[in-house]
Amino acid sequence: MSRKRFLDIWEEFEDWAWSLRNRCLEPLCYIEDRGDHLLVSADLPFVEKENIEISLTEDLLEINARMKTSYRFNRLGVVQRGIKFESFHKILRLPSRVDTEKARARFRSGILEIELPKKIQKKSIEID
Amino acid sequence: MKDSIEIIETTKLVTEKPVVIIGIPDIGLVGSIATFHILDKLKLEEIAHLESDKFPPVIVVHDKRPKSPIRIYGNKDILILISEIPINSSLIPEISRSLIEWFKTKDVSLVMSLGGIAHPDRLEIKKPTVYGLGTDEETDEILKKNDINIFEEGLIVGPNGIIIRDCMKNGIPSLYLMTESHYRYPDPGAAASIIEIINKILNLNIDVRELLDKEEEIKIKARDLMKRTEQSMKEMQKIREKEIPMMYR
Repeated sequence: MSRKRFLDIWEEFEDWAWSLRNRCLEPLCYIEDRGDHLLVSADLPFVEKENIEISLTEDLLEINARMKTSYRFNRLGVVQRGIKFESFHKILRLPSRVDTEKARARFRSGILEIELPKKIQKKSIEID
Repeated sequence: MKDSIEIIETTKLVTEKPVVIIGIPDIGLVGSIATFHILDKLKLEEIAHLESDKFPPVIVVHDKRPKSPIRIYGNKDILILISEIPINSSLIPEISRSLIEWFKTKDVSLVMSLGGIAHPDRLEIKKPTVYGLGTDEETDEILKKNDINIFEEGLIVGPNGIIIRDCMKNGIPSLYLMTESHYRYPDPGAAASIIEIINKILNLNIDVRELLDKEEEIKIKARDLMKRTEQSMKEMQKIREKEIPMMYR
């Protein structure tokens, strides 16, 4: 993912939990630091496992998930009223560099969990 | 200028020792989801709302009309307090005091606050367990009679704890019902568990199937409130509920 694309999407979602342009919602999503790994979780209602795409670099995580049925806010809001939302999208800047090869994900009861082992560079220190 | 918190009654309702159910945004939005469902199923009318200049400058719009985000619905037997905004920790004591004074004028017989207990393995739990904390022998008896697990030791952070403490101080029987829940995600399943317990306590028959069938839709609608509530829980150090208090005896 290019830096420019990342910043464009980041800006679009900065103040809104949805994007009209892309008809997508921002999922509730959190990063927990669990010492040797990060645990990212995201709530993805109306989504099935097969329709989730996860892209990962050492410091960025992107989640795209298509809903099995589109969702429309029939009465709620003003600008988002009547718009059919069809997917979730989220880009997260990770607080530590992670080992992309060792990342694992699972999806249960509408909640996606991604375990990201940290890239730890150990250096031995000699004692004088 | 309304420095204090006022409860404005928009409908004069004659109550008969009503039970109050409180659903303030908290862990998993359990109380909010449960109370919205109860007032919808019991078709309760809005009877009052809370006003104060100390509240954030927010109104909500429902059925084409502006409304206060903190409102009370009810009939002669049940009063339900809901909030569509998280309650800032600095306002909790004052809101609690105003509510208690109002409860006294309504001759309230029992106050039940609803909330969640964050469970790290919530995804493994099919049917969340409900725990209860009472304030006197009468409420202990309600918990015992309905086989509700008793919350014996721990910490409670936020509005529910302050409200039941103030109820106890003022001799109003009070229960805090908590159910195992997701911490940061709306949890309609947990709300269903707590409604089933309320059905037992109050001898009601509120159907929770719709809550479970519409779980995904509820989660989408509750997303923004959950996000705000998570920020508010962080500010009031809600995470401290995971701590174990030191015994004093």
